[in-house]
Amino acid sequence: MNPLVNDLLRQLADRRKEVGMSARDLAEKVRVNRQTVAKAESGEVPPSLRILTAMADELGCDVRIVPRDGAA
Amino acid sequence: MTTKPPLVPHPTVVKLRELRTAAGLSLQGMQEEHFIPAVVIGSYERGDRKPSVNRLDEILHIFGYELVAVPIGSTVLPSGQAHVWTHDEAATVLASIAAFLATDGPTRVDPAVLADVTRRIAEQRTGGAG
Repeated sequence: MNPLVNDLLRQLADRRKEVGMSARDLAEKVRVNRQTVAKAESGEVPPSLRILTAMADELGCDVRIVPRDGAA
Repeated sequence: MTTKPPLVPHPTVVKLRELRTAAGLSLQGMQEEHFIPAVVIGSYERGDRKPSVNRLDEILHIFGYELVAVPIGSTVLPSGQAHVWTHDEAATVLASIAAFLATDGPTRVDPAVLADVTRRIAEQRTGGAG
């Protein structure tokens, strides 16, 4: 698993807990099963871009492209 | 039965060509230097195929970028940090813009748009209907 993507997924998992949403609720909103959300958050199975952005959207976040630290 | 609107591809994908050219990389260069087939990158750029999150991040990494999740409504600063505007900050900025618009200088900002944004912020502050 790409460590940068892992960070992003961890951010979203933290955000879900912050807003008090269960993995089941998030899965229902994104229209996937709970296992997909759980495996995405743990980094076990990276989600598709569609699911990632849908998860972020439901959690009140945008997925953006930003310059990498230290990149030219 | 309620039907949710279809999920649309995220706009991050459409910027790939722009980012690649800004990095001075050709499709052929991506293939030769980074071992990602030119036809694959081309299909991502055209939107014919959607990259996996890992593949997208791999490509962005080559271009000097990364994916982050930021709260909706925040501004990503040049440093890459997300800044969430407080209502007071937003109000100050809007007041500055309004003052600018009130001058005789040339402007391309539609005052009606500004009024709409101001109204939305006011609604948020008061917990009004969104």
